[in-house]
Amino acid sequence: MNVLPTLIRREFWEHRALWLAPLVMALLLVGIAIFGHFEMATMTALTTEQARAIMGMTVWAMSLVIFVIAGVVISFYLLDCLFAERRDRSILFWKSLPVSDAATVLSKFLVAVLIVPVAAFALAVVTDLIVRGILTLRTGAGLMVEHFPLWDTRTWLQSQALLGIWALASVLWYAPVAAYMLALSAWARRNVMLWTVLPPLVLALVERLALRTSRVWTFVAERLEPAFSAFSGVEAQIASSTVTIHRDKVISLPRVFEGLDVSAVFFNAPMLLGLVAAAALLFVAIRVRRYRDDN
Amino acid sequence: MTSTNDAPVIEARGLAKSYGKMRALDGVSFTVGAGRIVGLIGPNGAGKTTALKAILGLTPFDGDLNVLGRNPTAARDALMQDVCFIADVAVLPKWLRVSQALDYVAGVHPRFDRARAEGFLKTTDIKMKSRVRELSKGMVTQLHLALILAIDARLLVLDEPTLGLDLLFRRQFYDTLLNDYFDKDRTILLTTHQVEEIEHLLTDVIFIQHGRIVLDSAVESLGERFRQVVCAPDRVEHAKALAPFYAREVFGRTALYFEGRPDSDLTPLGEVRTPTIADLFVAKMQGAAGQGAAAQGATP
Repeated sequence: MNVLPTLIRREFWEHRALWLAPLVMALLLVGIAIFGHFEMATMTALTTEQARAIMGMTVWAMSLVIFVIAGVVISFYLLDCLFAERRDRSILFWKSLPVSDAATVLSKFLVAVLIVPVAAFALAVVTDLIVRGILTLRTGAGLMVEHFPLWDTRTWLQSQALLGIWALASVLWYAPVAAYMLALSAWARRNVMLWTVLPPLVLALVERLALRTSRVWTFVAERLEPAFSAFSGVEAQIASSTVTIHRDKVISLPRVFEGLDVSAVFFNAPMLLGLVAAAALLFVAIRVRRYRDDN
Repeated sequence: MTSTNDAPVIEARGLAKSYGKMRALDGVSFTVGAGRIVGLIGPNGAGKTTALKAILGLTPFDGDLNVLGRNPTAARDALMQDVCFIADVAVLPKWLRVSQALDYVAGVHPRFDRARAEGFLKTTDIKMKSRVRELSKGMVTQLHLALILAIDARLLVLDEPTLGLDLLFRRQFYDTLLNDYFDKDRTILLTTHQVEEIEHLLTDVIFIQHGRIVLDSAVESLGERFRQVVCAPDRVEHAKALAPFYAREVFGRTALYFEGRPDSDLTPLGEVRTPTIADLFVAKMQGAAGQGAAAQGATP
C-alpha cells in the first residue's frame, strides 16, 4: 500500500508523452552534439564577463528546449487527464477503488506542477553536462570553437541555479492555470481545449463591447507571461544585467543570479493571489470529479 | 441462509432521484441482509443503475440510504474499502497492462491479495504484459473479475457484468463468483437482463419498474406466494374468475399467474407450479403495465 506513489505511477503509464517527449528531445540534443557541424571560429577574444554571458546563454538555450517540450506535454496532460477517464468510462473502475477524488485530483496536479518539472530540470542538467562533455572531446578532435567558453564551473552553477529558480517560479506562477485546466478537464463533456479558451475570450469580448475596456484581457495576458517578466522588480533587475558583445546586448544569466532578489520572485501579490486561486480551482476540480454524473 | 451479522448490508428508505422531470427512483425502500445474493431486475430505464449508483455513492439522492452502516455519499472513500463493484463491462482503460492493473490495485487497496489474483489469471489465457485493448471482451471481464475476487470485500455490486459476453464466459463468470468468492459473510447485489442464467444462484429478487419496487421477495418464498397454472382453453374462463394478475397464451394453452391463491383453488384448473423468475418477471412487468390477460409474452 503506497497510495500516492501508485497514483503517480499510474499517470505515467497512461500519459507516456510526459516522460517520452522530454527524453526524445534530450536525446536529439545529444545527437546534435555528436553529429552536428559547428563553426564558431571567428569570435574575437572575449572578456570574462562576455564569456560568462555567452556560457549562460548556452545553458539557457539547451534547458529551454526541454522546458518548452515539458510545458507543452504538461498542458495537454492537464486538459486530458480528468476528461479521458470519463470518455472511456474507466472512471467507474477508478471510483470502484478506495481512492478519494481529492487524492486523485491532487496526484494529477502534483504530476503536472512537481514531478514532471523537477524531472525536466534534472534531465536538462544531465543533458547539458553530456553535451558539454561531447563538445569538449570533439574540440580536441578538431571542432573549431576558439574563444568559445564551454566550461566554467561557477558560471555553470550560477546559470543552472537561476534556471532552477525560474522553473520553480514558473510552476508556482502557472499553478492557477494548471488547476483551471484540471477543473475544465473534469467538467467538459467534449472539446476541453475549446472550453478552456472560450470563457476568458468571451469575457474579454463582452467587456470590450460593453465597457470599452480590456481588463480581463490584460489579466489573462499577464498571467500567461513567463514568470520573471511578470514581476516588475525582477524584470528591471534582468534588464540591468546585460553584457555588450559586439553590438548586441546579451542578458548574462550569472549576473542576473548574483543580483537576484529571490524573495521578490516568490513573495509578491500576484504570485500569492495566484496560489490562492489555484487552491480554490483545485477544490472545484475535486468537487466536479466527485459529483459529475455522466456515466 | 444464516448470516453472521444481523445488521443489514443495505438499508434504503424512500430512495428517490430525478433527472430533470424523469423520476428515475420514486421512493424506493428495501433491505439487503448479509450473505444474500440479490438480483435487482427490471426493464431498461427502470432505475436499476440509478439505485446501484446511489448505493455506491456515485450520485446524490433523496431519502435515507445506509450501506454497511455508512452513508454512501458522505463516507464514500471509507466505504469503498468494503465494497467492490463492476459497474459495467469494458470500463478497464484500454491502455492499462495486466501487470499494471495488479500493481495499481495492490498499491491502493489495503485488502487486495495479489497472489490470489495472479493465481486466478494463471487459469486464463491472459498474459501479464498484455494491454486491455489487446484482450477480448471476455478476457477483460476475466481480468476485472480476477481483481475483484482478490479483494476481501463485504459487498459486491455487479451491474450487467456479463453484457455482451458469450455463453461460455457468462457461465464461467457466475461459476467463479459462486465457487471462489461467495460465502456467508459476503453479499452480492447484481443486475442483469439474462434472468434465466442467474435464477439458480439468487437468494432474493427485487423487481423494479418506473422507479418503483414491484416485488421484493426471498426466492425460497416465491413458491408460496406465486403460482402458475397452465390450463386448457375450456378452463380459462374459470381460471380468470380467480383474478390472475397476468395471463399469456402458449401453444394454444393459457398460462395464468396468481398471487396468494392456495393450490386447492388452482389444481382443478390445470397444471400448477412455481413460476420461474423469468416468467414471474414478465408477468409482473406486463401485468403492471395494465396489458393484463390479453398481453403476449415478451422476453425480459
